[in-house]
Amino acid sequence: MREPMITHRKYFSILFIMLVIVFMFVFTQVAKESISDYDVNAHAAKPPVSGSLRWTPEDGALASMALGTESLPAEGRYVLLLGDESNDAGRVVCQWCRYTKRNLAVRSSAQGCSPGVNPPDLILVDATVIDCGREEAALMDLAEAGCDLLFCNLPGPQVIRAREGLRTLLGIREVRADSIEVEGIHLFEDFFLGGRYIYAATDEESRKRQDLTLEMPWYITLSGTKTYMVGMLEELLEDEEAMNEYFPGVIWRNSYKGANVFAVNGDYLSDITGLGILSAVYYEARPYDLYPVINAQNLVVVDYPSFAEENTEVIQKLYSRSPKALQQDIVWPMLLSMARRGGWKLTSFLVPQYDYQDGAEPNAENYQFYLQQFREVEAEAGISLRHSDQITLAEKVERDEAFYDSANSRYVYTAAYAEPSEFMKLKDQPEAAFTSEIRTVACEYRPDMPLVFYCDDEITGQSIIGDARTHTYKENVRLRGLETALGYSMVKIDIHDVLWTESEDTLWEKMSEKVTSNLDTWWKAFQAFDKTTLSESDRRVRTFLNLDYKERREDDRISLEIEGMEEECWFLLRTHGEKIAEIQGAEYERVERDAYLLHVLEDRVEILLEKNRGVLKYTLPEED
Amino acid sequence: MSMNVLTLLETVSVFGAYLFVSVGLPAFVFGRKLKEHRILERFLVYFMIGNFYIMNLVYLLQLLRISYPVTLALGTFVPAVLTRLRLNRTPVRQMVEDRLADLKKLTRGFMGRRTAIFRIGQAAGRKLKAAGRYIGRILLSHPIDCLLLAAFLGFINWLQGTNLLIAYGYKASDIPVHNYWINQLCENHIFVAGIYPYGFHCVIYYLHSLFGFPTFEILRVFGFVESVMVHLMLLVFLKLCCKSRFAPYVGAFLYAGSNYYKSGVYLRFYAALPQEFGMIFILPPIYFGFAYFATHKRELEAAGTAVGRGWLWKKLRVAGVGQTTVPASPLESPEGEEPLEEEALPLSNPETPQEEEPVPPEKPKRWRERIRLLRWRESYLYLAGFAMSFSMSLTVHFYGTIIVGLFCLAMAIGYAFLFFRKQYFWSVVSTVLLGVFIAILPMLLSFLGGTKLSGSIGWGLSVIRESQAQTEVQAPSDGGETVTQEPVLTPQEPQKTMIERIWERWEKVREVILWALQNWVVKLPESRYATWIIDSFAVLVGLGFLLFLLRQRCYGAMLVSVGIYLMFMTIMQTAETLGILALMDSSRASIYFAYSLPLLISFGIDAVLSLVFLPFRNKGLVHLLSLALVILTVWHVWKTDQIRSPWKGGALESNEAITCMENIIATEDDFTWTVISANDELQMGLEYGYHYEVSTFLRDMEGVEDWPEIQLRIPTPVVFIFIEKIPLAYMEEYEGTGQPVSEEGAARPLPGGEGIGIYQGERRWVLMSRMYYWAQEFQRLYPNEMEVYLETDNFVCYRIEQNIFRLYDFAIDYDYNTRDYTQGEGDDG
Repeated sequence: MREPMITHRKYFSILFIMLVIVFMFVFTQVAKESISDYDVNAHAAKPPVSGSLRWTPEDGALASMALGTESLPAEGRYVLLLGDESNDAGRVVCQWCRYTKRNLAVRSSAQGCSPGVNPPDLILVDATVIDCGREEAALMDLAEAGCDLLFCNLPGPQVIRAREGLRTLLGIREVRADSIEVEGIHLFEDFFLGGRYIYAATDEESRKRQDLTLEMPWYITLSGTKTYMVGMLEELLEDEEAMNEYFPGVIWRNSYKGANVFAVNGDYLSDITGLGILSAVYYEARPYDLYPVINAQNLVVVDYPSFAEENTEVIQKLYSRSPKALQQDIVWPMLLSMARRGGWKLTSFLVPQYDYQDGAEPNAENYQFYLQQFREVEAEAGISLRHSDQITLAEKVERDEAFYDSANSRYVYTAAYAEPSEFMKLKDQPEAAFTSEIRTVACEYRPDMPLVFYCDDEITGQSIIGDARTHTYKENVRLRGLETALGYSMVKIDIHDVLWTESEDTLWEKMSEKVTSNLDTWWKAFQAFDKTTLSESDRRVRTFLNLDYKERREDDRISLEIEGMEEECWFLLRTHGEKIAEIQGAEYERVERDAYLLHVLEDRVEILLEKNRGVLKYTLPEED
Repeated sequence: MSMNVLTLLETVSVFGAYLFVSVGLPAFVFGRKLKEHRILERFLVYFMIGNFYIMNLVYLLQLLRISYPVTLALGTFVPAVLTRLRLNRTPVRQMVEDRLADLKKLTRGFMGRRTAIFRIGQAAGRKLKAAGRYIGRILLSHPIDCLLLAAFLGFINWLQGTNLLIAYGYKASDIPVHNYWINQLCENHIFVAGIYPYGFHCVIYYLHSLFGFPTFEILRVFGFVESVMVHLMLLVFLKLCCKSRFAPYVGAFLYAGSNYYKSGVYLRFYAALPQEFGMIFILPPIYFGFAYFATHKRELEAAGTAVGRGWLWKKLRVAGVGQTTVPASPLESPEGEEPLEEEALPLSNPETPQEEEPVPPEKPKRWRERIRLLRWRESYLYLAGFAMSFSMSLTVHFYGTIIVGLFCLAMAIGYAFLFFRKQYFWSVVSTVLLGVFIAILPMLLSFLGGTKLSGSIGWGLSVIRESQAQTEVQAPSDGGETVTQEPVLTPQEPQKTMIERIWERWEKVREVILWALQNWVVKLPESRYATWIIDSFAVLVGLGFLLFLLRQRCYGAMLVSVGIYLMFMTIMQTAETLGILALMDSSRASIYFAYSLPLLISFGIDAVLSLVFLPFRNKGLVHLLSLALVILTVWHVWKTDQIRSPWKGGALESNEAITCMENIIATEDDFTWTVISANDELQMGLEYGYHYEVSTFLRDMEGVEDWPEIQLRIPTPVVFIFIEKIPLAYMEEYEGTGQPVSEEGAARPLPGGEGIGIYQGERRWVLMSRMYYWAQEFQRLYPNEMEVYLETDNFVCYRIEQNIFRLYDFAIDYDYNTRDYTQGEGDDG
């Protein structure tokens, strides 16, 4: 009789072990699925802070006090705009005042403006409105009275050349050329957060990014000035005698009789980049600055996932996969990888289908899968209300409602990707039940719209400032400006372009490469700021818009009092060579040199500062 | 950390490093070879070898232009190890094989790490134990000596070190120049300002390069190191030469610790200067000279070849006088000459049997063979020591060589009975020539290479030249001590006899000598004490003769030499006044003269005691009496309140400026900063950053016509501005000395001129006032960018950070620079 290859005892032992292993793996997965509430939106549980508590200027107008010929306010913090609040620069100034909780006084002329007992924090001069040549003396009077001035843009070079007083006020030694095209822009450190950068088109990649205004008047600055941004000239560099100091100034400061006079040679204040410039200028004019920020970095994925098998032929041809497989097997792992590498929290705007005419209906088969995946990576699901021209928003919502019903999910959507005005019209319609809990709307940035705002008391709007696929130099300057002013950014990855690809650039492998590269590169300097989902960001935006604060400094101690704060909020402290020695009522993190992000937990914060640079290692002995 | 602590740490580190290379390494190499010599002599030999090697190593590498920390380290440690192995006849191959075998065992795991560490620890422990035993033996065998030495050194530390913690800066105006020369050595540019004795600079550069101390830190504290070594060398010399054990302390203590000397003779000790460093090498060649004569005499007598004696000897020999046995000790005559202190003599081990002198072989014709046949003699050691120390005196500073030369001349007279014999004469002369040759060789090579002599040498020579025509003397600037009227040598009256005229002339000269002594060197309550001092020189010579006749030949000759040397020094001190050839100016001569007077005291006491107790064999009483004299001297000085107190003078740079420099060098990255200040910081930070002189800085933005076209950029990220709110009185006082900077000062036109002169007197006040108001205006323009780095009532330092891609224009209109000064004084409005 042949001997058995394995004994019964061994056979059962092996079998038992295998069963145990299988059970353990299967059980944990089953247990995880049954315990976790994948179809519950954690952000929806907590009621949002109402917009009715938002901070408003003293007269109730939108961040401004149209004073006309009235005298300047005798009390309270305010900014005086010599210009028009309705033009581009004026709108930016309005926004900045609202975000920094300042009143805004608007005058159309400098003449007759006497700062009196309560001088403005800053006087903003819009040279497109004010005739600087004619008002030269009045502007100089304001500066001599100790008021800090910011020229949001400069009068023409002819005016400056002709007016010595204006040149002295602005710290211009010479108008070398009325117009010159520079090779690039050099942004120096310690102005915007994010450090120094040269925006020059040196290779093909950078040439694609270059979209900054390179044509400008050539002003050479005087002694007593400090420059923050210059245009770069290759010809000048080749000249041995020439110095960097002859590069055309873009943003600089002049000290004029005790006042700081800032000049912006360009249109940087005509969009939200100006928010950053205003914050940076105000910081540069003072020994320190402490102001509220949102502290939210959002990465939103638009139109992902899509649940209909649309554009199948093209996708099959390009990827050898169905749209569903492409999204699940190729796009999602890559998105996950990007998010993990940069610490991003994704907000993905689901779209049941895009083309409502092609007959391809959405299938809720993978709906749970994505919710589960989102939950596991702390991502958030929102809804995308983008639609093609072939269908109205109302029709789309109606069709989508049917899909969400069929998905049979408890998930409550609190974030949407939509045009705010359209969404607000839709909100009250009964057929849009799945949008009833929406609290925040992500929308594309428009210059005529604030960056973050209340659509009504319940819903906020948050602007997307760029596409992660294409990050131009202008967008980068804007990003730095917004991080400086608000600690906020929202960037999108548009999957619609992938699923409805029209060019090779939107092929996912190319697009993902660019997105990854951009996210890794341009946001690296802002790692101190929190990565948030849109609903988390919404909560912070509400707090940011609602709060009011007062701060004062005595010696090395800064006291900060906050009103209207819910649980927590964030402030940015920028110093000149000082660091936080001690803090009460908040935690802090260093953002970069001389910049600290305060996580405020109490409505009263005490900060003790100490020297950070130029500290003596060896000291003189104390005298008896 | 406090600057005081830092200064202490720097002092200890620099002193430790210097002793390590100048004494420790030679001891490591030659320790076994010289173990039979007494400890002080060994110390002297090691110190000479160490310094000689350092100086010449640096010279060699500098001339080859390969002087770097690596080459210096290789040039130091490799020869040291190889020489030690060779001298100790260490089986190198065996040793290397053993170590490799151990390493192999360790790497292959046959020997554990713990075992290896244990073995190394055991070996180190054995060495430490041996060192401990050695030190213990010394302490137990000479407890009083150790105690007195420790007290002496402690006292010197207190006297010389206190000021280190009061004034941190350089204490002499020429140190920045030396600093510059040393900095240039780092670039392999020797003799950058012309040929000059570079011994001092070589040592400082060596310490800087090898140990990484910043040069300016060494220069800050090296004055202390120098002065301790100068005093120690005096004591060591006296200890080695005197027979009584404690008499040396009397002279050394009176010199170092009493108030009987003019303060001017000590002032230069507070600064790190070549001349004072050179003083360390004045007495060692003299000791080696004495020791050589004594030892060589003994060697010749022991060998029975004391031939070539003079005609007098031969006549006496015929008459049967002085027929003696072989001498027992080197300094003494053979019969009945027993040294009071056995150790006082530069002996080889007395127990070492002298080799029998072989029959002189036929003279070899080739030099190589001759050299091979030369046997090592103890006297060669002293000749070598003499050559090295004589050479170093010239390598460091030729003033020291002048003093050594005078002493050698005195020694030639004192030891004439030996010196002019052929067994001595050529050896000594060739040694001196060798020493001079070694010292001047690097300078000669550079001179032949086209380098010119430095201005300092020209100045030194001019002092000698001018002195022949000049009879005026300047009063010593020693801080308000009484200066009596200078005596005038009146023309001789023709009607007096020759003898009367000579006597009268001598009386006048004597008067001048006494005057010079009292005005430059010593502070005495009564002028008769000065007479005693001068007379004592003759007494010392007389005692020397007496002892010589009493068969204490070498000892007597030594006393005679010292006495004659002191007479020479007296002549040198008064030469300027007497109108004879002055080798140096009176103020400098007084430093050397004062340094020589302890010899008179200690040798005087020693000679008297030796004479009185000559017949006695047991010399214990002599030691006891000398100890009693030490105690009595200290007690007397204490009782009469003549204990010298530490000098608490200021430096030529404020403590705040030094504190800032130390901080800047320690905390800022190299070459990222510029200091705008007066001139001292220029060389201090040259290896770490940049410097902009205040005068240039202000001049560069001065002008009415060119304004505002003037631009002034400083291309470093950080700029420091040093401003003295109360300007220092830098080597020149004026009626407003001590006044703070003011608008009045700023409203004056900028002083003209170049060099250090612009920072002296009122000119410094004007410059600092201008700088102060410039800083005020600049701070108004850049309130956030310009911060106060350090501020006291006297001083303020600002720190300005700027963007290197867009530099600030430091040429600003601060009102005073755009005024028109051509119309006369600037207007205050």
